Amino acid sequence: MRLIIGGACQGKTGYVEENFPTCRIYDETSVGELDKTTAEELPVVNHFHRCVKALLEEGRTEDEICCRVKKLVEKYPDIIIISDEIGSGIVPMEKQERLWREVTGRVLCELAKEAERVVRLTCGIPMILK
Amino acid sequence: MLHLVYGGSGSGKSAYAESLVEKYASGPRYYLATMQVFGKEDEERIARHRRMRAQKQFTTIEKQTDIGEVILDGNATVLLECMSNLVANEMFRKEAPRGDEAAGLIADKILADICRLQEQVANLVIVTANVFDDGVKYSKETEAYQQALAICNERLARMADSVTEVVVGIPLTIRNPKGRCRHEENFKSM
Repeated sequence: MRLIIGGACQGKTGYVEENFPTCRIYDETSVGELDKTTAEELPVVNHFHRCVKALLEEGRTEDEICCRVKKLVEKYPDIIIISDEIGSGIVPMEKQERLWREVTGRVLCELAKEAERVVRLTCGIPMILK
Repeated sequence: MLHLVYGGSGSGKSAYAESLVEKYASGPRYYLATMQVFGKEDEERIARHRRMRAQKQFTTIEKQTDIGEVILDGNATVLLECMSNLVANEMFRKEAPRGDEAAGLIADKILADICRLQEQVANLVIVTANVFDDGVKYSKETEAYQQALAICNERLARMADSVTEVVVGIPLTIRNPKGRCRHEENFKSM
């Protein structure tokens, strides 16, 4: 599994498309269709932070989300996960927004532990963190 | 030694700061908690951090303002968490300075407190937050808060032996204990 992170619009998707031409990109609306990926294609989950938000809105807990994502990685060991870094601003007034930031951050920490590569994009420039 | 640890919400900065304490502490370990508790969510956050620190032999000191008043022994290692709370507490207390100069005055006061603390102890590890990268235009008060925290971060970074940004649990060296900055190292390797 590869984890690609960075702020919004920093060139994360472009980096993946350029380096993995066989990628098939899913997002929070289509992540349920991952099994449509063919053997020649490399599955990519884009906007992972929004997937976390959707799961929280369904009432899932942090542990449940972590567990579900780990199962996904077990099933698709070559998967690429792209996520915005969303925890680097003023703490939001809304409880649900605070929870989303923190849970996304912590799930990303767990994913980073298991990832074979972690890349952060800044101004389109990739920095290999792991 | 002074170590500054920087990162966003849920970045893993606390866990990394604790690992620095494990690495450098030879005497007693203190956890200086600056958060004011407002309700259940904060209690849960504290409980989670306490679980993380369990078995690491920390003595917890709660001090929300005036941290320079804390008296500690010379061989102590202190983990101060978090600057984001401390700045808010100093800024929104009754006797805080107001007006255009407020951010700078509050930062001066906090830095003086931290220096008083640092002079006493062997190691100080400070956790601070990135509250700067969401591109949102906030109210004047919130912007003053960001400014005060930014001034603190900048001055602490200048004083610190090491400055580390934690990203998805991975520490990125901004300045290493030899005092070299990341951009200098990158420059050398070019």
